[in-house]
Amino acid sequence: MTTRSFGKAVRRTEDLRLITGQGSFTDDAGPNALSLVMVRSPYANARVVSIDVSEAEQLNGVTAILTYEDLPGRLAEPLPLLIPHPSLSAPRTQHILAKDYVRYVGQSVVAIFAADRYIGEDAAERVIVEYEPKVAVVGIDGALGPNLVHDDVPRNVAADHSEHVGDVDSALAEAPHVLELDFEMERSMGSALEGRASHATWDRHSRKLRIQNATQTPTSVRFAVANILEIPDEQVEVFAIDVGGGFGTKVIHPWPEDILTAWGAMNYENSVKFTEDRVEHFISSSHERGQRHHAKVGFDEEGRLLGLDVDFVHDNGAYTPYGMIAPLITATQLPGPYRLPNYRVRFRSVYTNTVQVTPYRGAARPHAVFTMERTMDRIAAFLGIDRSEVRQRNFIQPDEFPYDLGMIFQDGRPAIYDSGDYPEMLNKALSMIEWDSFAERRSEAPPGKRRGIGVACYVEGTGLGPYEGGHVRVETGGKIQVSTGLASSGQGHHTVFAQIVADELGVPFEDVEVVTGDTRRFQYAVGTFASRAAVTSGNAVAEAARLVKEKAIALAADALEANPEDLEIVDGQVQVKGTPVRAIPLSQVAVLANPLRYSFSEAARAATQFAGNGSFDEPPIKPGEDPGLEATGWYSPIRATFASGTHAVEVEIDLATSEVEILRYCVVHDCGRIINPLIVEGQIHGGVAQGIAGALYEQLAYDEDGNLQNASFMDFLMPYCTEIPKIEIDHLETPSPLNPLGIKGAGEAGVIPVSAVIASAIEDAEGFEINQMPLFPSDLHSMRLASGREPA
Amino acid sequence: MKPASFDYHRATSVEDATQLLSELEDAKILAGGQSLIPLMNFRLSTPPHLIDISNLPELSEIKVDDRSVTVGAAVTHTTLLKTQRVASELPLLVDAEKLVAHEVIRNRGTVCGSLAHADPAGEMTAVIRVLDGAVRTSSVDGERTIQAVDLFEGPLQSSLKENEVIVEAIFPKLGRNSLSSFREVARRHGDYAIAGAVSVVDYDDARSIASARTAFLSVGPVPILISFDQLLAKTKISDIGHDEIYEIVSSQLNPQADVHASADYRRHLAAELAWESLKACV
Repeated sequence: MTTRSFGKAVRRTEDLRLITGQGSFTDDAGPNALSLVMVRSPYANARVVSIDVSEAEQLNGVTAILTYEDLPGRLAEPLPLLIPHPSLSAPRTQHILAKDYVRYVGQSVVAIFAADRYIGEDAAERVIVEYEPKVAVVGIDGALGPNLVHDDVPRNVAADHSEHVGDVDSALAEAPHVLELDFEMERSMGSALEGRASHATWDRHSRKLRIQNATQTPTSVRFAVANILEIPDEQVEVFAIDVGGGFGTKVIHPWPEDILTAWGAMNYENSVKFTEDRVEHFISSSHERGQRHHAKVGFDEEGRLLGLDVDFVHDNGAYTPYGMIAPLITATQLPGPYRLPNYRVRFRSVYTNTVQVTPYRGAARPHAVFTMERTMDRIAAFLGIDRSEVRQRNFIQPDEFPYDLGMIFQDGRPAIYDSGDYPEMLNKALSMIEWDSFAERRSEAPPGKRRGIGVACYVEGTGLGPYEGGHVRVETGGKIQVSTGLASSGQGHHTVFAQIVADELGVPFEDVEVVTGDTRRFQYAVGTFASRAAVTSGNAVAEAARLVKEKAIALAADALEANPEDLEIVDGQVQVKGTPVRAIPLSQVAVLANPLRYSFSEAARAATQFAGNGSFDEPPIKPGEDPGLEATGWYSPIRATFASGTHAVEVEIDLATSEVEILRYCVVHDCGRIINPLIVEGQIHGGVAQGIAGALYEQLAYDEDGNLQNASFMDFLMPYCTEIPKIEIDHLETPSPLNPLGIKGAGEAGVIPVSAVIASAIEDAEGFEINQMPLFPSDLHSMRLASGREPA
Repeated sequence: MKPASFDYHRATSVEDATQLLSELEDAKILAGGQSLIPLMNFRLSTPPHLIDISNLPELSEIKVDDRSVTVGAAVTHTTLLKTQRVASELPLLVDAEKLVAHEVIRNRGTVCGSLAHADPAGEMTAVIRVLDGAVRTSSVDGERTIQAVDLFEGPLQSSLKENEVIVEAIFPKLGRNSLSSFREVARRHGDYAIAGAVSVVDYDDARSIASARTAFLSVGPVPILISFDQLLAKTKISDIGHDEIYEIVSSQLNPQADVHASADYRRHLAAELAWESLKACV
């Protein structure tokens, strides 16, 4: 038998290349390319009165300078609204270069094409833009105030959306207890190590526009560029070889710079590159997380949920290129693992003069979970029952799947949980963190310290459609080539897709080579987001491998004069079951799959016309067959599959400094069948780290004029590894019944409940309410003073 | 984030450096570049000339004598941190260096560079202040010594003249009856401190306190020194009370708020850290 690699902790095939500097990132390409440098708005809300580029144009090494007036054809139109929605009544997207108005600090106003970035920045300093500033709309309070971001969008409301199940008003009216609660989360962002980047080359001989782009969605970048430049799709090739993290920011496309580099390459007889720097990443890429929630919850004496009414405001920044996906996810994922017969949610998505908000890892689930889990804690506190008990009493039970929430998920399809075991997950987490004996450890806190414990549960819709595909080809040299249109930004796709194909086809893992995100290899794909790659592309490459296997067995049956049902593939050999001597290697089957007139090697002679293959009564390629030992497989899920998890944390707070130390962090995680535990655990580590970042370190601090005050890694406190504790992980595997491999997504999971669980533990330690995140020592200090609970 | 163009000059001697500094318009001295280069990359500083002194052998020495540890202008934080004699003769320098940024920054950044930069969040500014040290400077007009108390004039503002270069920093050694302690709180390991306190306590032969003082970082425009001589003289360390120290410190400091901390929290933290660092001087 071939050793199965599915489920094994196979080491990532990417790593040797990446950690020895052999990666191929966009900025590695085109050392002599023209550099695209943007002049960005220093004002959050202003009219552009005039632009004078005359002095900048004189600079040696400047090829061209463009303002909005110079943009031809569709380049002058607003960028596309990627995801429309009926409730999105006033969508707005930005122009490639500002047209008359700027609406956030960092918006692109002028494009400079220069010999290098240094000269480009020299020129940018010499561009004179006159602005007429207006009052900036900053924060949710600003959005709800009298000033407008877009003059034609009253009350700054982009979308006002409501959904409900059951009868919330009656449920709340009849509930024995009702609590009204307010919860808020501040902005943060993905902060990938590699910023946005695009390198475009126009090959005038083959008439191809070749674009290496740091994107999570190469196929869609291709269609967008072709559409805006008004050239055939066929002339545009997009590939993302290595991408240094995406976290959602790089799902958004096309960025102004994607279009300008492509257009510049076609017009300036040189390739053009844009490499975003860190400041630009802070002020011109996407942000996320800013939301304010009001919840009204009704429950009975046992703490059972009777009704929940949530009204929240989502700060979408200045534009809505990704529609209202983020708040929609909050709305639909808020019920989490709990039975909630009566639930109503309303949100307003509002404009502010700040960077646009689009999904960032976790994608508005952290807010949902923060709201729901804080609510559960408050119910427990109100009734004086244990926080774990109130959760156990409300869980959807394992025999209730499929469980229909009665809502429409972000993919436009019903939100129906497919499988899970929430009670068992909580039990595992409680026993991991030794929940029941915490009182003892609390009393053992050193002088000047307080200890607290918290727990939080979540459900995450993953692996949504519409589809992904994969192609598998057996080469005559024996290598198995796999390609997917979906790109990788560090997830380990090259490893897990190889594991899947190796098992399905019956070949050694080492023989499988994977290419992702290259439209020259695979033209159709959706993208890497929503914890969907393993589910969708994983099942697609599995299907492709099965089709190849079928074909290989049919060809081998002819060659071995055996019955196809009697054949199996083991270690890359097609053989008669139980009789390995009657075997033919897949590489040889690949030769036979491609009848030849010309021989180019000893092996290939077997496929030539005088080799005596087949019958003269049939053509060399039989009707309905194709040459080559290859196949394309597709997977299109009926709907999302729902992963779940429970986190538990024990913290110790220093009463003098108000610093929060995480003593233990435990994760129980269920992503269905696990392809590779190393990769799943790596994803959880990264996710939890980003969650801790959002809970205790990161914020995007805008001043009242809309200036981002901490646009650098010196002041935006992305934690170092020194700030992240050891993360203990246990798994539960409830397979998804929705896909053949039984898998669920894992990419975002780690980040989702972290703010909720840390808030729970801090509240437990301090004894006063924690209603907003992030929480800095400075905040905690003032809260303790305000609570009157000063250190003894 | 690319600097404006500039001319690079590698000085061949201190004399050459001071000569270039007086001749070239708006020239800046480059040593480790850990503060200057980021400022240039943000174009907050656009010097047309940089004069590199980092390779001058005469500035690369650490001298230890009976009275002080003298650190040349090209000596990096890492070198100071890893010099055995410094650890045994003036351990406070090592305690402080462990808190200076991260290893890669310490590998290039220089001790004197951080003093010239005059960042009130810099650990070495507080150390030289609490030790009442000095820097020696050179220029075409000659040499002079500037006491730490006179060196720092405001955030990123020193009393160095435009044509002057620091050639060495002098850190007086502590007596055999003196103890020191450095405490700081940073949001992340190696970051600039939200607040920090470095204390020195001198004892008399009867193990009573002769004098005690604390220098603070990150809570004012310059490193701030508070003397506790009046409160603590002739007492034992075990007599020190948290509340009195807290009161003195918090009434004398007036820190600014920023995105990381409120002014109140900074003041509170400085007072707590002063208490912690004094208490550790036993």
